[in-house]
Amino acid sequence: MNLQIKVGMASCGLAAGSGEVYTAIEEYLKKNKIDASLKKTACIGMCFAEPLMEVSSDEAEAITYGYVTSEKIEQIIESFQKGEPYIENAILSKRIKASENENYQQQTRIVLRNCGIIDPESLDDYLANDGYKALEKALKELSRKNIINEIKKSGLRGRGGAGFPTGLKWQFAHDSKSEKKYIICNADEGDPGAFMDRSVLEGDPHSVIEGMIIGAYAIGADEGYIYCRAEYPLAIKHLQKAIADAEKAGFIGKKILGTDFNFKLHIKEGAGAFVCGEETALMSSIEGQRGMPNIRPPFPAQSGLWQKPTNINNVETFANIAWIIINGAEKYAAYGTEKSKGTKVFALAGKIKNSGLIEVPMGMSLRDVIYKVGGGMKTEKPFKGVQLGGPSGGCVPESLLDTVVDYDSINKTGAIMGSGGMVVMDTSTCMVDVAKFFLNFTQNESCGKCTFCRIGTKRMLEILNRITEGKGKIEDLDTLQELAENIIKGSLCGLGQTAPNPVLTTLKYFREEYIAHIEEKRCPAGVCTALLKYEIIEEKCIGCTVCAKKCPVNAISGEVKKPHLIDQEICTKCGVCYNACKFEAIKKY
Amino acid sequence: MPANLKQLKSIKGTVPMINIKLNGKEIQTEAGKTILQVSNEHGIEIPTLCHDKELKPFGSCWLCAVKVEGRRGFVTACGTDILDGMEITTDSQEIRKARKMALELLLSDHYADCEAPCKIACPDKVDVQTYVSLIANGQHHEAVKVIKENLPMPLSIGRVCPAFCEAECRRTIVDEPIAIRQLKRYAADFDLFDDWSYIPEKAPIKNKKIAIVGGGPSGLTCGYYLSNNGYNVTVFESAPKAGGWLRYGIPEYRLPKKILNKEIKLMCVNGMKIKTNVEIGKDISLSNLSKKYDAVYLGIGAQKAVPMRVKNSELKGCFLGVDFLKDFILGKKIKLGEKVAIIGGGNTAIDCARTSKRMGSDVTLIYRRTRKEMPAEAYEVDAAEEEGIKFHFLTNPVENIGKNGVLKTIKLEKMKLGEPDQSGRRRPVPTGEFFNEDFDSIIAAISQSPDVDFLTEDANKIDGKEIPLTRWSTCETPDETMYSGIANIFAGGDFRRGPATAIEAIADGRIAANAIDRFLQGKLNKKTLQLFNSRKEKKLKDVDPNEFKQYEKIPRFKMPELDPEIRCTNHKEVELGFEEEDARAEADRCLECGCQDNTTCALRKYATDYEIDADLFMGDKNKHPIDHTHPFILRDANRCIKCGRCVRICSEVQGPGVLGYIFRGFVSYVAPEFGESLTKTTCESCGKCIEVCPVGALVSKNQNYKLNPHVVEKITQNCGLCGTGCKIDVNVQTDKVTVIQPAAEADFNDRNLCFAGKFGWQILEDKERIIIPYKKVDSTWEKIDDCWEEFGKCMEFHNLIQDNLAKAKTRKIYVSAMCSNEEILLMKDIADTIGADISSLSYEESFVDDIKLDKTYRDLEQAEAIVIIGKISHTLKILARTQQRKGKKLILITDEEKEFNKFADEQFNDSGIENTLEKIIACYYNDDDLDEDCDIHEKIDELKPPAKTLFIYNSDDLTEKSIWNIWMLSSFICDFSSGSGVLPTSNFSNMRGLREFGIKAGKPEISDFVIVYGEHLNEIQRKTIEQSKFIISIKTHLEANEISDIIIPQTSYLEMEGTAIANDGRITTYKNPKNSHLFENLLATFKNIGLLNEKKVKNEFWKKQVIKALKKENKKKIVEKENLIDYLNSIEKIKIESHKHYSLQNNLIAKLKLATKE
Repeated sequence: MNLQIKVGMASCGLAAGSGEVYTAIEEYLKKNKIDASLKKTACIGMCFAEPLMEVSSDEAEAITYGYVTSEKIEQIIESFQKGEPYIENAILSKRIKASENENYQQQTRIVLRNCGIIDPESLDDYLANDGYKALEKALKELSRKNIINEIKKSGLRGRGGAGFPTGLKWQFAHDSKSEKKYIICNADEGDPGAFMDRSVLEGDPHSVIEGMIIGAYAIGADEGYIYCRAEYPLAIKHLQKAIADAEKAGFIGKKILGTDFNFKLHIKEGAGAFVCGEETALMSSIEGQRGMPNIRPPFPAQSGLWQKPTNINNVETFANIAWIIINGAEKYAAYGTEKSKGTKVFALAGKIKNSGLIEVPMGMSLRDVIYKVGGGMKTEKPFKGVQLGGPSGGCVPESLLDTVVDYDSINKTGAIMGSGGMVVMDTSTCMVDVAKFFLNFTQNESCGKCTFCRIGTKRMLEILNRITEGKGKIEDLDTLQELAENIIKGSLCGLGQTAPNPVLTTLKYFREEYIAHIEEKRCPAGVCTALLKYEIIEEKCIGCTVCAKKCPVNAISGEVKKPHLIDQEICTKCGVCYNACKFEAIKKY
Repeated sequence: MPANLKQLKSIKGTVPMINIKLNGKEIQTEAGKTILQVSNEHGIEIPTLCHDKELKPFGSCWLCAVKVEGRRGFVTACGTDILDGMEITTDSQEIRKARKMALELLLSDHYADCEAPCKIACPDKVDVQTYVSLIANGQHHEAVKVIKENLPMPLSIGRVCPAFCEAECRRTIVDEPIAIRQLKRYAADFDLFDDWSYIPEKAPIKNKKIAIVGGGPSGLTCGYYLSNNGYNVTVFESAPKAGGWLRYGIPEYRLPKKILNKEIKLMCVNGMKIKTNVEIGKDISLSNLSKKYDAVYLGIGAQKAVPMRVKNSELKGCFLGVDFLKDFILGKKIKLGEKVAIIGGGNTAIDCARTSKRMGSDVTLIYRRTRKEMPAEAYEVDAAEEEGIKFHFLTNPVENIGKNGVLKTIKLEKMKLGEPDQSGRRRPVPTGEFFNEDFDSIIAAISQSPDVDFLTEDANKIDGKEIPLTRWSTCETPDETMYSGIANIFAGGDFRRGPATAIEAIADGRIAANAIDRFLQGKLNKKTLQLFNSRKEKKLKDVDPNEFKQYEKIPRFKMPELDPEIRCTNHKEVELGFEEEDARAEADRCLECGCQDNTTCALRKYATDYEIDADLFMGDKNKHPIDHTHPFILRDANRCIKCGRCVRICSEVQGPGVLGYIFRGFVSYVAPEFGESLTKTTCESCGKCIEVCPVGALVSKNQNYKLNPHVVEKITQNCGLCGTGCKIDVNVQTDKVTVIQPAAEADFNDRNLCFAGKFGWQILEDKERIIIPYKKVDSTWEKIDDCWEEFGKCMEFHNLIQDNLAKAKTRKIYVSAMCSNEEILLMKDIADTIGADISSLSYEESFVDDIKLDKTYRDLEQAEAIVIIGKISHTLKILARTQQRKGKKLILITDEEKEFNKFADEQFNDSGIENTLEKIIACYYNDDDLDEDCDIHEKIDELKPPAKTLFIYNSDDLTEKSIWNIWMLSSFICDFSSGSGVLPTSNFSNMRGLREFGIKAGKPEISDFVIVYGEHLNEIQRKTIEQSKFIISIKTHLEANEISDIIIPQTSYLEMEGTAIANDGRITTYKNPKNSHLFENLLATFKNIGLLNEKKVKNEFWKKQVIKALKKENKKKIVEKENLIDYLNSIEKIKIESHKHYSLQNNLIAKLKLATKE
């Protein structure tokens, strides 16, 4: 029996221990002299269940196992060989009932078509999966105009966040007259909790490169940059290998596929400034300047990198291109809503059961994304809100969960689609604290150019801090609102223009929580330390003295076998007693 | 302009017109402009901090936020081009609110003081920082002038003020506060005892009469300013002499009455009349005054002592403090006992105690709280203690016990401190514990109140109305006007405040004077401009001590005093005053907290315009230590608003690019690389960053003087340090040049100056500068004392020169090309008189002397390519760069390594300039047989220098051969139309003038009598000339290997009225901004020697001579462009020696520039 085994070795897998699992499999196979091919693949999206391994054979269809440990390898392989597959850890399979089958079937995978399936370091693997066929078709069968029209017809919109129609963007760059043009792939993914781009670059680098080459050809560029953050070493490694392989194979370089089209591709490693995801700042950074956004117009399509017409798309956008060229715009446009076509990748995080990467057709409701694809809430605590679009996005409450995934519907809620970050929160989350968290991020990441963004976000953060410390005033809410509005109206780039969104949406949907902090000096979710109070419930306390012993500041007193008491003056609200009590005799409120 | 528009322009020759709607008005205008430009053209002011006319739009400050129909949010007016059909709103509630918020946010992170905290703390807002700096500079009259803008009694206040300013002095954080009060006294004493005292100019007579009731500090101050302002002022004083509390309350040992008399006399110079022994309510009535005078100011003080509520206070031996002091000064007989108790803790109590001590009594001061709570100044309490006065703290008298109607014993109660009261001091609480102590006198100095009984009398009512009073008998008038609300009556001082300080009374008097002036013009209620004021912290104790760590601790200079043992036996002034050296050193300790740019700061202006609230957004502030490391550029990142104008101008226009942003977000700041000192960078110290900074984050420093924020006089003239001849604004504070800037009224040099022009001139004010003649005695140099300082005492010196002149058979004069036209003509005249041969050693004969030079700086604008060869002036380089930014080509032929070179479209540097030029010429000559690989050839092919190419070189820095090559090259390339040809430049300010007036290039010779005027001799020249018999040098600084026998000071371009001729043939002018007499002294010297007649000793004469001479045609044969090639080819032998000439000033400035590098 010829076994094929794949292990997910993307960053998420490696972090969960897939490296050890891989070695263990290797050793196991060797030791038992099992005839099997062992391969590395990347992330299939089920990060929650990492490490993952897939086993298949010529005879038997694949089964994907999750939560794999070195100890379980023998059991998994042996049972597979015996034809009585081990069910317990199976999460995905076409032939047996596996835990995630149902959720997985809800997805439509275009961008992630190869992720977790092929070996990202193998050009052959990519070629075996229709790789570079789109390029060949584009170069040999389609004119530039045809390609741009095809992309226009597909309805593809920029997946970086703003959702500008990609075909139109290409058209502008194409129409700009210049001997020199550039194409740039924005891989500076910086949202906390978002890792779509990283997964694609780690799992299927050639799809991005192929998309870029097609784009370059369409707009008339002969040089490109992938601006990738240096914090993605594996992605960069895979990209470097992919570019070298593609050069060798003649997909990059001079006279590509025998045509007159030439294309050079570079990787530019970013130093990890969030603002460099903004296109004008990104170009400044490539030019060796400080990553600071510039006034637009002129738009990059007129005057971009080194003042030459430039087209910038994000990783996910490029990853769609080859599929569209091969399968046709109509097929792509069949997915989605009237104004948002195709699929969207989301990074699910927070209090959701299946945290990881998913791809769903546009038009699916948020409720379905969370409950059907994401498997619902992680614990018994009920859903409270979902932060869409990362720090630039907003927080959508339960009442709006039937909003469908499309650019315009999401914008109406005050949130944005963004690049696809989706952080699910339950009732243990304080919404003021959430707003504070995201604002703290954008505040730190502001380049410091625009007055409103540089100082305004700082002042908003200080107000939020005061509110969570119980020092807020009700007028602060108006001040927050005024600051937020002017920051949005008076900032050059997307960072500033969206930074107040988390505050605005929480103010809109969870205002009563702010008021509770300000007027009642109370954090309803029990998160804001300064407002917390720990108290011993007399009836439940048996006087075991554990809390008193563990209290680091000796704030708890009481005799053995008699109810204890917390001195509120001394208590620092560290919560040690709360966690230590086995009798749930301490209440936190 | 967008590229497509440029194309359009070149095709049609005109820019297309488009229609826009600006604030609802239809406007037709040229395309390609920004909203900011169009708005300004239509008289709409849009604020901006980050936009700079020389730079691309940046859009960071957002003050220029405007709305454009259809665009989301705001757009920046500076960075948005107008488009056809655009609808723009530049002003609305929404926009104003956003701009206001932007300013409030900027100022919420502005850790800086507009005004110094000492000035803010002063009740009278005296500009302390300025006068302290002036004292440090030795400008004492000027200091008094500044003080008297607000405070006309520095002699008195410098002695008695409790110095609110010192309490807020930031120097306290480093060591101890500046001795501000005593410095004020020092300047005032200096002013008084000098030959002349400062008297302000009197405004034209106004024919309006003002009555002032009360001749105390408040009334006198009010009268002083009104009389200066042209009003007819009469002061009515009830006492025998004016001065009020200063005379009748402050003891002699603190304020000698002789000094007070002099002060009052000075105050009356502009016409204030004082009528003494006239009491209101008795001799005159208020209603009458109100009718007879145009306005009345009541400064009647608070003279009535508040009686002590102690049982048996009518006993003999019981006194009230105020009356006691007044009676003592009036010379009344006071029977004071042997053992005296003083009750109270204020200054009056201390004054009573120290006076009693001086009367020979044993004195005990009784105060109900502790020493810490005493309202008297600590130094006064210390002085009293030193004089042997005893203290009973936490003690209160409850009963006077007498015997036969005379005080014998006081029953006292012990007190303890309770909760703080309204004043913030802890309240004394009785303990019920009593004790008795024997005293035969008790002086109660508790408090005072105004004596106002007369106001209720009918005669003093105005139209039946009484002046409204508070329950403390004071008159509550508003802070801004002092207007009582009734008729023409104003009131201030202690009458308004209750017993307070003299400085507060003076502040009221000054404000009243101003208000009365406005009242009489019917403008009393017109709102006065409230300038915005940024403050680091409201109180000294809140200021972060970190930023002060960098300062060296220098203790406050202790005021010398009379010995306590001696002084308590007499009434002589205790404080003896500072010596000049000590005063200047003490003043030099000032940290200069107030912003030097506070009158020009754009941020402050907008903050004032938009009436912003700096405290609206409280929160973290970025704090940085002030960077003093560069000798000429002060960098205070706390004041920076991150507009990046300095960053961008330095990298995009000037070249070095030494400034940048550090960090991200809120904590980002602008600094040199790694936050290091500018001295560690490639900074050229051109100071352009200072010019573009809209706030005070980058300001000039002066090596010789302490600068200050006071408004200065600006005199516009030309720079005289090289042949460029830039237009400059010379900032002058009475005879002293503080700062030099490019002229605000922009000339060809716009906002550009080089290091020399911006900072290097400071060598002319340094300690080494020669300002009086010297003679050689043996081999040392001696100042000729009395000569020049006291005019005409130079006999010995004159005789020495005359003797040598008479003996001399051969006579030579050498004139430098740094001299003005006037100096050149002067020396020509003297040469004629003494029969000397005159020439210059600043240059050598050159073939260029015969070529007609007709290129001006305007040609830079018309050229299509500019070629710079070698070291030319920084300003001209920047002007060339500016043209390059407009699309011209910039070509450098240089071996200098400068950041500026990076701008060059092409740089030629092939083993030296001379070689490079040779090779380029060869490319043109032998086009065919040239080596294929010659990269110069390739470069030129690529360049295709257009016919409109302008060559600029420095004639003092190249060999004759190189210069010939440049001219030759120009004759190949140029058509010599406008913008095409050669512009030679010079290190010397008047090379063109020297030649214009026919001064030939000379050779050093040995002679019997030599005058070396301004020349800096090189080694060879010096070796020959030093063998001469008698040498007179006229120069600004002594040199090493000085060969002269006599040295006479030479004037600079800042010290005489005169002219020169710049590189481009323009006449440049000097206006003697320093008001110097050096040139007149020089002329007088020549006259006294017998070389000039009477009419020639005036600067004016030489100015006229120059005008006449310039009108005369130069008869020299000149080469025109048509025969240039022939001329160049006709020169058979081209000298190969190098033209390297520098002036003494060039050399000194070059040395000074080294100090800007670590």
